[in-house]
Amino acid sequence: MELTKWEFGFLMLVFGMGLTLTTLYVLTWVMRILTFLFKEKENSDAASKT
Amino acid sequence: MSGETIQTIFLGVFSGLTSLSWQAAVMILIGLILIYLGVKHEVEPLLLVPIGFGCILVNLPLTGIMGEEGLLRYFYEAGIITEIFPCLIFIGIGAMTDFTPLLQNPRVFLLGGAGQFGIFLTLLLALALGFDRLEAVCVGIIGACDGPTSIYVTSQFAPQLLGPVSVAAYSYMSLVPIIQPPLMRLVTSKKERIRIMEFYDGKPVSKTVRIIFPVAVTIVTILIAPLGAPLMGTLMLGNFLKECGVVERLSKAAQNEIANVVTLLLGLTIGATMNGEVFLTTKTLLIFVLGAIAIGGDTVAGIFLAKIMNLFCKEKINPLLGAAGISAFPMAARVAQTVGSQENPQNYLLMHAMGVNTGGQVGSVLAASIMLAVLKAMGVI
Repeated sequence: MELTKWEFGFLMLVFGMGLTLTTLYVLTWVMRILTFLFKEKENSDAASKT
Repeated sequence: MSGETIQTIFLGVFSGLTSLSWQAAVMILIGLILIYLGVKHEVEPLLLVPIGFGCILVNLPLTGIMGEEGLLRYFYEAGIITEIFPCLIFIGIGAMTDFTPLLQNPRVFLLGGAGQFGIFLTLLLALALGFDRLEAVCVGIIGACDGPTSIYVTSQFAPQLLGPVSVAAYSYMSLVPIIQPPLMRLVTSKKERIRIMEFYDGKPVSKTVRIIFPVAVTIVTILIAPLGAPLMGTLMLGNFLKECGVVERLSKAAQNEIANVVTLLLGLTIGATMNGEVFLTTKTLLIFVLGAIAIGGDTVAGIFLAKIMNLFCKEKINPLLGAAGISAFPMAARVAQTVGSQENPQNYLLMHAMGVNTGGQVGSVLAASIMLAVLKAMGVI
C-alpha cells in the first residue's frame, strides 16, 4: 500500500483512536454483563453461608 | 628510562581521561542529574537511579561495557531486543493493579481510551518534523505515558531512539503533577471542576468477576489486535495471578522479586543506550518537546471526552476525571483528586479517578497493540 506520510498519519489517527475506543466500549459491555451475571449468585452464596 | 617511555606510560595510565569526548562528559553530567533527581527529589527513583548509573557507565571511555562482549550489551540483547524485560515488568504491574474501581463504574473505561489521543497527535507532529514513519510511531508512543509499552514498541521499530524515548516516557510520567493541572484548569470551567459526583459507595464486585475480567480482556483485545499479545497477555496474566487467589507466591514474586530485578536491569540497560554521540542530537530535543505535547494532548482529549459523555449520560461526571485516563498510575488519579478538591474541598474524586486511571493502563497497552495491528495491515511492518 503506497501512502503519503499524511495519509499514513491520518489513517493511524482514525483507525488507532477509533479501534481503541470501540474496543474499550466493547469491554465496558463485557464488564457490565459479567457484573450482572455474577453479582446475584455471589450474594446468595454469601447469604447461604451465613 | 627515556622521556618517550614515561610519556607512553603516562598516556596509558590516563588514557580514559584523554579519551573523554565532550559528548561523553555531557552525558555523564546528565546521568548525575538523573541520579540527583531520583535520590534527592525521589522522581521515579526506581528507574532514574539505574538509568542514570547506566548512562554514566556507558559514557566512561574505554570500558567496552556496551561493546561486543560487554556486560550491558548482554543485558540489552537478552532483555530489550528480545522484549523480555518490558513484558516481565507488565506481569508485575498487572499483579499490582486493582481493577475494582473500574469494574464498579465501567463507563469510565472510555476515558482511558481518550487518554491515548496524544499518541496519535504526536505521531502526526513527528511526521511533520521529518521523522520517518516508524520513528514517528515510536515518538508518538510516549503519549501512552507508559514506560514498558514505549520500550516494547521502540526496541522493535526504532532501536536508535530507545534511549531518548524511554527517558522521555519515564520523565514525563513523573512530571504529570506539573504538566496536567494548568491544562485541566484551562479547558474546564469552575462550575465543571466543582461538580460533585455521587460519593464512591464501594459497591461490591464479586470475586468471580475480578477473576474473569483479565481473561475476558485478554481474549477480546488479542482477537482484535493479535500483535499486542505479549503486552496485554502479560499485563492480564499478572492481574489474574493476583485475583485467582491460589498462586499467592507467584503473585507476590511478580509484584516484588521479578518486578524489582527486571526494573533494575531495565533501567541500567536503558541508561546504557544513552551514548553521547547517539543521544546528543536535535532529534532527542524534538522527542522531549513532542513528549510534553503528547501528555498535554492526552489530558485535553480525556477531559473533552468526559464533557461529551456528559451530553448523553444522565449521571454527569466531573470532567477532571478525563485527565486521569493516562497510564501514569496512580499519579494521574491523585492529580484529578487534588485539582478537584482545591476547587471544592467536599469533592472526593479519588476512587472514581482510580477507575479511570486503571482504564488508562489498559487503554495505553490497547492503543499500542492496535497501532501495531494497523501498521501490519498497512504493510508498514
